[in-house]
Amino acid sequence: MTETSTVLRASGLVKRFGRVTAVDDVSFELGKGEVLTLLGPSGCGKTTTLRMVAGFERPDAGEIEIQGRVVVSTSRRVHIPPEKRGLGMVFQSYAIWPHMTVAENVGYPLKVRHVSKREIDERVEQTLAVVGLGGLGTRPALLLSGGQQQRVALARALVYSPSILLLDEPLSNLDAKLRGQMRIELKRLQQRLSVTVLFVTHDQIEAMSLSTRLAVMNQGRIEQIGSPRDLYEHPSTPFAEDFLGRVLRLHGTVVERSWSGVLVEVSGAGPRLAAEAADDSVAVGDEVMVGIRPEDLSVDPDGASTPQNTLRCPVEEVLYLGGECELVVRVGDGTHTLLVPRSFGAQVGQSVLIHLPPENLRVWAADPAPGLDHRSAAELTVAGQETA
Amino acid sequence: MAQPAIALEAPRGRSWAVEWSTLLMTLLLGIVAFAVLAPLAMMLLSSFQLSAPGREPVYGLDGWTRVLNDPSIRSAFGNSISLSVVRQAITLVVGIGLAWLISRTDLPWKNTLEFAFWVAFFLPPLPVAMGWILLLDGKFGLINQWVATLLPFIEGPIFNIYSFWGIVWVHVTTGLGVKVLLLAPAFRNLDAALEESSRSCGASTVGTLFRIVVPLMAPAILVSTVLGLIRSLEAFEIELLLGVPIGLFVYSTKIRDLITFEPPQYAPAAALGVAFLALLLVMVALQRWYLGKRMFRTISGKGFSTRATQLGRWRWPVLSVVLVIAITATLVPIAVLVMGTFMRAFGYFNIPNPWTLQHWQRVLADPQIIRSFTNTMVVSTGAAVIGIVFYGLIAYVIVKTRFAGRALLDLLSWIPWAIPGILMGLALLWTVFRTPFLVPLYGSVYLLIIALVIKTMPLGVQLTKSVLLQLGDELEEASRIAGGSWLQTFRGVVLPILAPTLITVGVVGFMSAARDISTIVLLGSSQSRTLALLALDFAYGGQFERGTVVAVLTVGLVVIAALLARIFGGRIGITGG
Repeated sequence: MTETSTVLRASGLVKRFGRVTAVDDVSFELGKGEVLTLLGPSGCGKTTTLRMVAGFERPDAGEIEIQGRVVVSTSRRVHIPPEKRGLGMVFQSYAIWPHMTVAENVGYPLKVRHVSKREIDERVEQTLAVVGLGGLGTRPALLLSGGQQQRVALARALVYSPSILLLDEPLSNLDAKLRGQMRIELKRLQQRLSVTVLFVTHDQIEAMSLSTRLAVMNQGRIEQIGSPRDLYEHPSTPFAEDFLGRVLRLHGTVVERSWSGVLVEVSGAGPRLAAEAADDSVAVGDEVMVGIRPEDLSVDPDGASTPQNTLRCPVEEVLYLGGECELVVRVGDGTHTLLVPRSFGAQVGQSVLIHLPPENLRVWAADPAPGLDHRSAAELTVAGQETA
Repeated sequence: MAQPAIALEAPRGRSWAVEWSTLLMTLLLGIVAFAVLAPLAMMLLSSFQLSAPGREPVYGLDGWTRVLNDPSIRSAFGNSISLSVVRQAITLVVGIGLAWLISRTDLPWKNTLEFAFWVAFFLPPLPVAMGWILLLDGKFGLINQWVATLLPFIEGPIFNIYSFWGIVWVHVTTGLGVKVLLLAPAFRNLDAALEESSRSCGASTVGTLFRIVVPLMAPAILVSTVLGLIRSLEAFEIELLLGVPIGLFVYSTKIRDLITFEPPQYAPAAALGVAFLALLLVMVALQRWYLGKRMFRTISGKGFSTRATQLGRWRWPVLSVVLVIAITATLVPIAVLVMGTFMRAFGYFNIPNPWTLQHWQRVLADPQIIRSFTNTMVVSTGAAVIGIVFYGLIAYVIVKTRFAGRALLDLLSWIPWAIPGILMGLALLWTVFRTPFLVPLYGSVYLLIIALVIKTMPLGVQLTKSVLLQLGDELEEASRIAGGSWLQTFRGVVLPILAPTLITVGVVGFMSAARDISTIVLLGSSQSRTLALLALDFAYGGQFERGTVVAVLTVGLVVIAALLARIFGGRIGITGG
């Protein structure tokens, strides 16, 4: 990213509410035409960060620059109010003004900028057409469906070509089907208008599919920032691994460490697993947790021999789901749920072989820090469950 | 919002702007605190002051010893309690039945019936009481006359309105409206499946009502009961008209009695007021603590679509009973009152030319009426307009700012809820007497406006607050981020959404002012009295026919305002976004 293409630069943002530090030293940059997503569970500070960019919250420390202009800086005692930042924003509730028509809602940003009546009408009609609401301008805004209200909110945020579009969980109030549809439309719209977007969501699918870059946030801090592929395939913290996609997690102890990886003994008298990627801090004798994406492991019926990096696991429950079967298997100390094809044919009392390729296993120090391993091992599912 | 709407490079400028809005909000808090607390402090002080206002003050406990020892004051206290409890018990039982019938059964004409009870809620008590006097006066009351003619063997009147039960009767007819209004929406929100499961277990309709519906409704019923008790403890004009002539006093008429006594007995009046106020404040505090702030929730048109309970063959008999109640609560007293204005001598149909327009002609030509009408319009409009701005500001500060004193402001704006009108008037009277720069207000309409604005504050602030709370912050933020300044946002977004509520608050303020008697009865002079006060003076001072004409005029004003409120009120409850 070159200096000239940076639209937004946030550095050292801190925001406290009473004794709680909601945002703790957050810095990031946003390049022109880029979509940066702040992703994290509720309470991770992503919305507060967005609201500091918008100007609704004042940071306790830090600085934000928009297109080279400092809009807020605690050291320089600058705070430019939201209306002078030239941003567009779509709110979670859409915030459609109930007393105005669609066209009045969309035309409002132009009206407060004293644009002539004729130009307002023209640009409102254009923008409504862009979001797929052409001809609905005279409708009272409250008579629209949720999806349509969302488009109005989008049109209102885009009508004056803001330097950055801020999206605060814009899809979370839609039903699942509509959400999928709007996600695609949003992506197309963003590419067509090449608008710069700062996007806040807790939904990893939205985040993965819409972003140029992703910032995973946890407890007020950015855990990792990078492209969606980078984050999914090479998470740098167990939280990022866990939050972005599904993961099967095992606990164990390091028995050997070499230049090519580590050897872990799974708790509960399991066999040893070799893993190629491991935390630098991990040493022999350490308690660790091992993670693998469910799509990276393979499940086979029990056989006579057990290949390398394979666990033999007793099946405790089989649930027939129609297209597939759900297996509840015992692995070491805990149970895990696996999805297998219905032709798999496992039965309670039998065992299955789970193969965990060393190149896909990641080993993390079993740091009991809160928030890292926020789900217990038994609840972790391998497949079939959306990360909420 | 507390934040300044300007970009500020200079630290000095920023802190100044922050202080400016804080200063204004502190000023508002100060005004509300003074308006609410100063009168109460003055009343407390006055209960210990033995000398007349304006004289060298002498302090002592005589007022309090008299309150504790005077048997007539003690009996007034007892009457207040017993009258309230008896009426509340009756209206509660009848009100629950009516609310259930209107909201949960297939009773015909439910909407019309609900509208009738809604009208009953707005009817001023004085004209209703006058209507019942015309019907049930011991000697000339129409019903008593008919009974005497038809059943000559019955000795004396069958029912005399000038009695304990007469007072109860008028209060029950005027109080049913508010009960139905409060309970029907609560009943409506009850899931029909709960009733149906009781029926499927074998319980009858009535059994289901009392075993399932009433217990589930307990919180709503409790709210309306406590509310009713508080309101009935501030009743004044019915007791004055029907109780005082037979020597039956309640504490509010006793206070008036002590004040209009020659020489006025200010100290015991104030002591009685303080004692009663303490009781009410405890009740309101308990209610607020127990039930939260749920009393003034605006009710929007939407309700659950619930299946109605079938009344079956009881449908039409029940309807006729409900109809009789509805008509008795609304049409009967007012129709009789209107008829009374056209009779030469009320109740005498056999004299030549029983009908006349002379009362109307005389009254309408009376300069007193013109003055009172002007006063009513000035006082009511003034209270409405000042109320809109004042309540709107208070509610906005409480809901939408981060002002440090907003919780205190919220609490203060609630206190008048516990203060009966007569005590509010009494307390303001002392405030004016004791504050030299306020003395010129005495006898002017401005004092009445101030009293009414304070009196209606809890209702006005809560109504506005409830809409502001629904108005999510995001609606305003969307305007700010779109480039609108604070002022543009307020004008373009907040005000238009709030407008229907503000108009409703104004109409409610107008109506309360036009019908109010208890708050302003001690403050009004012959120069500043309103139509309602004039009607009371006529009715209480023996010019009953002229009183009926003025009372009909107040009913007309209040009904027009109420219909306006209904038109605008239908638009309350817009959900933002």
